[in-house]
Amino acid sequence: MSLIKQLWLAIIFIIILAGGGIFVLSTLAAKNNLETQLQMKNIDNATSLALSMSQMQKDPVTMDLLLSAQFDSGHYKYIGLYDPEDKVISEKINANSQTKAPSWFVKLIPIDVHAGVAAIQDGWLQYGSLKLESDSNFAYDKLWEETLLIALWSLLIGLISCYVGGKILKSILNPLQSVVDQANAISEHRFITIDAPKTYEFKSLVNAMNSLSNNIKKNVSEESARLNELLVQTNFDLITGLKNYAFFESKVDASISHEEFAQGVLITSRLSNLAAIDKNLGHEKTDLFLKNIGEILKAECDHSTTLLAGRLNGADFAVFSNQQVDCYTIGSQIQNLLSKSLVNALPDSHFITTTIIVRKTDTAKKLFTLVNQVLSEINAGDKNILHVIDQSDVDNRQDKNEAEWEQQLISALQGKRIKLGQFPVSGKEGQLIHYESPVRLQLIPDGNWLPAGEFISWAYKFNLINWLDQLVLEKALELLAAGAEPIGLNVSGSAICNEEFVKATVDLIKQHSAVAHRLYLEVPEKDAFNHFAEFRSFCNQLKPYNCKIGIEHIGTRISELGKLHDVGLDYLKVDVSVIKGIDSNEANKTLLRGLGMIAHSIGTLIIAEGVQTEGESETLIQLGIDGMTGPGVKLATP
Amino acid sequence: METIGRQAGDCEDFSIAKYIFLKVLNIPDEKLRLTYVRANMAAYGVNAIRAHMVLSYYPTPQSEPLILDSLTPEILPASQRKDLTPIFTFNSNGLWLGNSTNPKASSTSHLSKWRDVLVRIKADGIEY
Repeated sequence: MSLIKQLWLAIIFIIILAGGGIFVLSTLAAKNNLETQLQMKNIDNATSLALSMSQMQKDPVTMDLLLSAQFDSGHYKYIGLYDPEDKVISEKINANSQTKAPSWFVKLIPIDVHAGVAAIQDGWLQYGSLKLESDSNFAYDKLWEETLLIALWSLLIGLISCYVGGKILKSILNPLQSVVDQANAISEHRFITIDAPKTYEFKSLVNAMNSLSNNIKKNVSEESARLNELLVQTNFDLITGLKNYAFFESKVDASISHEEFAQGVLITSRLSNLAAIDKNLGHEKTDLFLKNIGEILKAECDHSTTLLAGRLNGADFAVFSNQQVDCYTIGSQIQNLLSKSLVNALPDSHFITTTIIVRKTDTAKKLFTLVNQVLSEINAGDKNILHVIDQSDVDNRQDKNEAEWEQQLISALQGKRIKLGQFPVSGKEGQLIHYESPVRLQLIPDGNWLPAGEFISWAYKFNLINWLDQLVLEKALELLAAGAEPIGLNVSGSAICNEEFVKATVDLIKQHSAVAHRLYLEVPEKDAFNHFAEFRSFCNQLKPYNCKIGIEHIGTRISELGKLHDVGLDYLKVDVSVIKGIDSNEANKTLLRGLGMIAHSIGTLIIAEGVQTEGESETLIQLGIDGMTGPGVKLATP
Repeated sequence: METIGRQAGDCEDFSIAKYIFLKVLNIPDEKLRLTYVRANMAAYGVNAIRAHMVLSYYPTPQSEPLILDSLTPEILPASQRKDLTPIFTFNSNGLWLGNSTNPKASSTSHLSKWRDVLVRIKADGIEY
C-alpha cells in the first residue's frame, strides 16, 4: 500500500477515534448533568411540597388536591403520599408521557434518578412521607436532541478535519512524488538530479541521489573528455582538426559497408605548391592557413550530416558524401569554398579538385590510389580545376530512373511489399541479443528484394521515408507479436524530429505493449546528438513501454557521451571505424575500454559493429564488450 | 466538632450534634427527626418568638415524639412543650439513598446546606 494511502487511513482513524471519543464523552457528561439536575429537582420539589403539606389541614381531600395540583402543573412521573408505616395514602402516576428518543437510545443511555423523599408532619406527629419522581422523558428528549446535535457537529468537524488534513498531507508529501520519480529514473539508468525539497528527511534522500547522479555524470563526462582527447590524438590531424588519413579511410569504408549505402561521392582537393607557400609565408602562417581550410570544411560537414571531411596528407583534402548527389554540383561547391580561402591569402596558389562516384563495391584505399593517380596526371597550371571522373555515367543513371523510382516505391509501400533482414547481434556467450533488421523492399511484385541502400536515399528524396519507417515498425511489431526473436530497427534523425512520426510510433508501441520489450530502436550518433532535445523526448515517450533504445555508429562524438547519463539508454553500438582491426590497434583498444566503462556506468550495454574476424571478436570480449554484430559474428548453436 | 471543642454553639449545632451521637449509637434514622420549631421564649424570660431547632425522637412512627432541646436539659414528650410549635422536620432519609454512603449528587456545589453538614461530618471521620 502506498505511503499516502496509509497516512490517509491513519488520519481517518485518528479523526474517528477523537470524534467518537468526544461524542461519547459529551453524551455521558450531558447524561450525568441531567441526572444531577433531575435528582435535585426531585429532592427540592418533594421537600417543598412536604413543607407546604405540613402546614395544611391534614384531611385526605386537601392532601389529594394538593398532590393533584402539584402533579398536574409540573412535569412528574410519579407523586405518592405514604403513611408512616409506608402504606400508600394517595398516588399519581403519569403513564402517557413518551419520549422522542428511540427506545434503543433509552436502553443504551439510561437516566438513573431516584425519587425525592420528604417527611410530612402533623404537628409533632408524623403524618407520612412524600415520594416524588420527575418525568425523565423530557430529559431523554433533551439528551437525544443534544446527542444528535453533537453527532452532527462531530461529523462536520470530522469532515473539515479530513479536508484540512488532506491538504496538509498533500503539501507534506508533495516533494515525495518527485523523490519517487527520481528513484524510478535512477533505477532505469536515467541519472537525473532534482531540486532538494524542504522536508529534512526527503532532502537528505534527494541529496544522496543527486550526488549519485552527479558523480555518474562527472565520471562519464570526464571519461568521455579523456577518450575524446585520445580519439583526437590518434584519429585527427593536429593542425587542421580534420580526420587524418587512416581515420578518414576507415570512416569511408565503414560508410560504404553500411547497409543503407548505395552510392556516394568522394571529392579530393590538392593545394598546389604547398612547399612554396610554406617557404614564403613561414611555418606559423602556413599552419594558420591550413587551420582555416580545416575550419571551412568542418563547418560544411557540421552543416550537412551526410558529409565527412579529412586531410589525406600535407596538401590533399578530401570530402566524402554517402548520398547519391550530383558529382559536379558538390564538387564545385567544395571547390568554391576552398578557392575563396585562397583569394586573399595566397593569390598564387590553386586547388585541383576531383570528384568520383563511390559504389558499394569500392574500397577507400582503391579510390584514394585512383584519385592520387588522376591528381598527379592533371597539370593544373595556374587556375582552380574541377575534374569529374566518370561524370556522364552518373547523370544518365539518375535522370532516367527518377520518375520510375518514385512510382515503384509508392507502389511497393502501398502493397506493403516489405521484409526485414536478419543480422544477429550476439552477446559474449554467443547468445542472441537481437536481430538487426534493415528493411528490404520489393519494388516490382515478385521481383527482387532490394536492400535498403538501393532505395533509402530515393525514399528521402520523395519524402516517403516516414511512411516507410512506419510500415517497418508495424511489420516489426507484427512479427514480434507472432513470437519472433527480438528485432532491432534503425530510426533516423528526421524521424525523431518529426512529431507526427514519434506520436504514431508511441501509439503503435502502446498497442503492442506486451512485446515492446523485444523491440530495439537505434538512432545514429550524429542524429542523436544533433537533435539531442528531440532524441531525449523520443526516449522519454517510449521508455514507459519498456522498449529498448540505443545509439548506433558511436565513434565521432565521444566527448558528448556525458550528456547521456540521464536519458536512460539501453545500449550503445560502437562504429566499425573503431572496431576494425581492433586486435592490432592499441589506441582504439584504450578507447573502447573507456567507452565500455562509460557505457556500464550509465547502465547501458556496449555492442561492437562490423566485427569481421575471429581475432577482433576475441579482443572485443577481452575489452569487456557486451555484444557484437557483423559478418564475423556467429550465434552459438544450442 | 467545633461546637464540642469550644463547648459552645447555637441550637442547630446542638441538634445536629445530638442527631449524630444518637446515630452513632445505632438509633435508626427513621426514629430521629431534626425539627424546625417556632419557640416562644417567654418561658425563658425573654418576650420574643424565635426560630429554633430541636431533635425529635419517635419511638414508633405514629407516636408522640420526645424532644431533645438545647434550651432545656430535660427530655420531654412533645405535648409538654407548649412553647414549641413544629414547622418542618427532616432527617438524612431521602438524601442518602439506599445503602449508598455517598451523596447522589456528584458535586458539593449542588448540596443543600444540610447535606453539606452531613458531608462535613463524614469528612471529620464520624461513621453512623
